[in-house]
Amino acid sequence: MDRFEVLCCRPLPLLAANVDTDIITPMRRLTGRNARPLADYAFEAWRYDTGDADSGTPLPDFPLNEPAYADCAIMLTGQNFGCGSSRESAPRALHDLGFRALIGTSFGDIFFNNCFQLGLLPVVVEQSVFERLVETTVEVQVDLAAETLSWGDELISFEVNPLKKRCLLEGLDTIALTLSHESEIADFQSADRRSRPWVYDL
Amino acid sequence: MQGMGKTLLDKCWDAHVITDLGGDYQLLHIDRHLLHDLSGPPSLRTLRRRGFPVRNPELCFATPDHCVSTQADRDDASTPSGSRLIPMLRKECGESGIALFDLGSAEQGIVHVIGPELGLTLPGLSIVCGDSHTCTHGALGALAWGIGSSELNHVLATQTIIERKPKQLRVTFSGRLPKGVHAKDLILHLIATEGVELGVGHAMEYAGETVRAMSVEERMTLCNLSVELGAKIGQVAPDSTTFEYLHGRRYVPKEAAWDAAVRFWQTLPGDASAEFDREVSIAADSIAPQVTWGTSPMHGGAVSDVVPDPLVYRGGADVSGVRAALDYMGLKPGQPLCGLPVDYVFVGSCTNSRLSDLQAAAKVVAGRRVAQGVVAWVVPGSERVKREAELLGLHRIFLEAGFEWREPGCSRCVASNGEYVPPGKRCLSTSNRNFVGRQGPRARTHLASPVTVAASAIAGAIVDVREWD
Ligand code: SF4
Repeated sequence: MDRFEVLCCRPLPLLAANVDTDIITPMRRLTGRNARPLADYAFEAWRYDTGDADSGTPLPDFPLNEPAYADCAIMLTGQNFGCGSSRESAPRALHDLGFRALIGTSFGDIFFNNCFQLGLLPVVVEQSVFERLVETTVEVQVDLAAETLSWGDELISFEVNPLKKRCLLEGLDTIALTLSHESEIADFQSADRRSRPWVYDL
Repeated sequence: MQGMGKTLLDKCWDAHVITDLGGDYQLLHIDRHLLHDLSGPPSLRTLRRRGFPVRNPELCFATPDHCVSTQADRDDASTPSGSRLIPMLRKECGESGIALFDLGSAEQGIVHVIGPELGLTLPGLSIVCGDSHTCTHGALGALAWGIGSSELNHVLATQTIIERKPKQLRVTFSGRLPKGVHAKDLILHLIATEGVELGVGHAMEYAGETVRAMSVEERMTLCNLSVELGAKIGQVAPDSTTFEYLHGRRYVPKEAAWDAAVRFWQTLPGDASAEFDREVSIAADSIAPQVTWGTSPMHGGAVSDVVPDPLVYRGGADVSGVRAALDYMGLKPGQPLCGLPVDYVFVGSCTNSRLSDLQAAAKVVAGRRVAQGVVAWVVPGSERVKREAELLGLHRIFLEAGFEWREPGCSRCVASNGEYVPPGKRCLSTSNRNFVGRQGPRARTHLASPVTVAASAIAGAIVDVREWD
């Protein structure tokens, strides 16, 4: 995983409420052999005139198709963004499109966890902060180390769990981290086996 | 803030904490890891290539469901996704020593149907699966939730997961379900009235006399849609109904071990003094059969309602979203839902494909014919459901009515096996998601109970089953 750097750009707004993971990455692009990289199919139902990345032409109004956002790393997301399935292709496609931070008022719970695993930072802000972010036309800076968002003369703090923060900043893999607790896992299992034998005796 | 007493979730959670990891995250033990053909094979392969062994293969169980064909003479090669993923699942499970309930075996089925059926799902167990509807298993008092593929790799390698305890929300249902109203209607009603964000950041517990009176299968329908409320976890406290359901199943403890387990399970229900972060109460006896009209599970209401005006729906909170939904669905504000012609009906999915669902649907269908032009499918949730239904002769009822009686799998719920609803076609479905493109590109999905779906297949249009004789 890449190390998470300070981000600075004009955020891309994708403000629809309850954007589900089926919209972000349609199932049929996950099971077949695709002509193009997965990121090209992200949001295809909204992004192309035919709703199909293979046959359609990009709709110029859809933010992902606007040249102004070509190098954008920050997305402003509507409430409950990423609801629906557990498929990690959704945050992966966003990562592949170049996004590193999502800022919204709420996220789907499973999606939220998956983001961190892929080097994507979901930032939860209050509604009033979000509205100011939507209005702004200047660049927004996301500084994970300092846990701040800043733009114009605004400086907003956000919270992120210290463990998740460390993994993002250092590009750490959680499996290695957890395996350092191997003796505690083994101790847990042997004690648990005595109190709940039916878990293990299959 | 929680009081002195512990909730069901507290008890389940605390029993699995291995260590605190700082902040609010903890390392939790995972008792059962269920794998399926879509998310399982890539993770198993990635892990093997990275050189990590599966830590506890004896606690992992796999079955193909998402990519399998549901046609009669199916094999791996019947679907493009299956021809690639099913052999890969078989190979990886073989190399890791993970038990596989393979295609053609008596145990194969949708992962959330076979878990409880085989007794792999038990009260108080921590269960994960790379699928968001893992919340279904909470119906037996398990602590079960869906995970992404990186977390899946982590569980395979360590038999643990890094999680933080969610907030807790209890929904208490009171009263008896009226005639024609089912568990599915109850949960669709909750989603329609409270919205798809009700449970975000929370674990749900479903309680109250209505839930106590429900069978375990009905409770599974309830818990299955927890994730459509934004909650990863949905639970029902285990009781004698749960124990009766489990007794004698394949992976359930036997004899003295059974007695010890039951004694432990009886301690799991929440203490009377336990407090929840939020509480919602619903009177079940005034609920109508439900059907969705839009592209979110919250876009729904009583079958007797009309399609809402986007300017009025939820006080005009999402006008452009609702307009887009109605446009996608080919509906106009003010249009009645009853009488809306359907092209396809689907009875299946981990929400409503168990024996009692098929029995309820068959009762409506018996002696009648599917309307001309309607493509009607019944896809049993598992091989076992299929065989039990056939012993009862349900397949004959469906076949004589003009339904297709198919092999078990996820099928048209998500169409990852290619069993699409064609573009522009309207499908009434017992599944759990009516998202844009869920049942296929531009397919129009309405969610409803098995009884509403079955009766509508006969009528060729959405019907109010309360007026069905
Ligand atoms: S039946 Fe549908 S919701 Fe259930 S596991 Fe299969 S695809 Fe997912």
